[in-house]
Amino acid sequence: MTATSPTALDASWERFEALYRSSRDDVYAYVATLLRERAAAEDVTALAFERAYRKRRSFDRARGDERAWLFGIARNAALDELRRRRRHARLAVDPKDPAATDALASTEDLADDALRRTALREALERLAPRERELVALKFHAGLSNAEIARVLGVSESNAGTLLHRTMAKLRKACDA
Amino acid sequence: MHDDQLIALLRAERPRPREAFAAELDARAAARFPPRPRPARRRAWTLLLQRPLLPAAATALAVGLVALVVALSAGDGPRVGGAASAPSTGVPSAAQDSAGGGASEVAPQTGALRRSAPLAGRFDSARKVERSASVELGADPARVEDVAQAVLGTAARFDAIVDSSSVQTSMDGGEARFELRVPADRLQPALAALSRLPDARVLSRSDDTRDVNQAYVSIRRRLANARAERAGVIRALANASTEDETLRLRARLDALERAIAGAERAQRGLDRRVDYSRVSVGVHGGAGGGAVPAGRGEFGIGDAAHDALRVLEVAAGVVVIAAAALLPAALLATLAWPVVRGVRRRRREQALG
Repeated sequence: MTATSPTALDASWERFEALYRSSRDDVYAYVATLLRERAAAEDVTALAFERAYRKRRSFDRARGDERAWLFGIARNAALDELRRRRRHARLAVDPKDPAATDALASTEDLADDALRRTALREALERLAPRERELVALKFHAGLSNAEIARVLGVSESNAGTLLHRTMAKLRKACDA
Repeated sequence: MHDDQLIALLRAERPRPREAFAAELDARAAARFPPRPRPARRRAWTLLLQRPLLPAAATALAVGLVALVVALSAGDGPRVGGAASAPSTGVPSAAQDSAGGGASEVAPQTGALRRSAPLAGRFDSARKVERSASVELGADPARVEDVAQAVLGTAARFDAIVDSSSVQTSMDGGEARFELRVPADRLQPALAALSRLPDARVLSRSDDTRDVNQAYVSIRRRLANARAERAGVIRALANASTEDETLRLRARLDALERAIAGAERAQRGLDRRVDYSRVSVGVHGGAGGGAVPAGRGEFGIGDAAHDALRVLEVAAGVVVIAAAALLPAALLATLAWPVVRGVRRRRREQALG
């Protein structure tokens, strides 16, 4: 039987804490986009970090980087929440969410931007849920294509292709 | 719209956590995520509701394991005690079965054997197996008669038939011998009881098992053929037109009747040997045969060691059976694991669709 030394424990915690600091807002952004409800997003984000903390020793670096692993946990927690609630995710940001509207407060004085934003939200609404998830992982959570591939369980080239198609569809919808 | 503009707009749409939530989560993180209290029972029920297949899978696995163990145990049945043959039992071989030789030795027990008819039916679906056993007991010279009585009492308790018995006692020893026929389904309990008789110890014990299924099938086939031929001869006799033909057919009919009667006797004899197992019991008194140590009946170190060894043997057997059952189950689980993961992932992702 082996005992884990305090030094090893501290190192494990420090690595996890760094991951937490760098990913907290990204995980929340991704989960909130999936669940479209702030309270549920907060619960699931907290749950995802708790699970990741408990499982941190089972993390295998050979199977991908830590952010992809963390987002995999967050994704499972969010999908479980969606299944529990028996409702489908709509990945567009809730217009009633003040946090989201605040983000664009500085640009609201421009009519063009407002129009573009409205067009984008409508285009996002029309995307398939999986496509919206891709957008959330890429632009809300800031994951690389390799990390997205790991989270979704597809190849990196497949993730890039899917993302490219989604962006083309989004651009076309916005320009229409 | 340019790509840069689109990406900038998408990034601007990114939800941001409330400061209060972020601070709360930071505090929990700083405390290394202390577990939140949850009622255990509710959690278990929640788990069951979320994973309805869990109890079903567990039940299926348990049933499979039990079935496997039962199948393994049943497969071992005919081999039990089959290694050693008891020369003293004088059980006829399977080759002798077809001769109908058992008829003469069973006449006195017809009534008793008739009672065993339901017993015979019990073996119809299984292979026909003839079992016999021999138990040699040692006893103090003064106790040979008591042990002999105990043997008879045990025989009565298990509805056994005493074919023969002889008891000889003398000052320096004595001997008793019994030839019993024990209902086959009670053989093992009867042998266990004989091995535990008071004032006696087991000197030797042997079990013998013979598969007589081939002989049984052969008799049945012979009987069916003879009956079919008899029906044909009877029909031919009804249509016979000449006296010679009639005489010839009558002679053939008589021969067939004798053959049928012989085959039926042989079958009954075989049934009896299958339904009743021969057990030869010997009780030996005196210095040589008895060898009953003084103070017999007291539990000593030797008995304890023997019991301990037996317990270890049984435990090892259980472990081997469990391993044999679990190994394929583990292999199946390993093979099924990727499928299970795929199914879980797909079920989760259905929430997106």
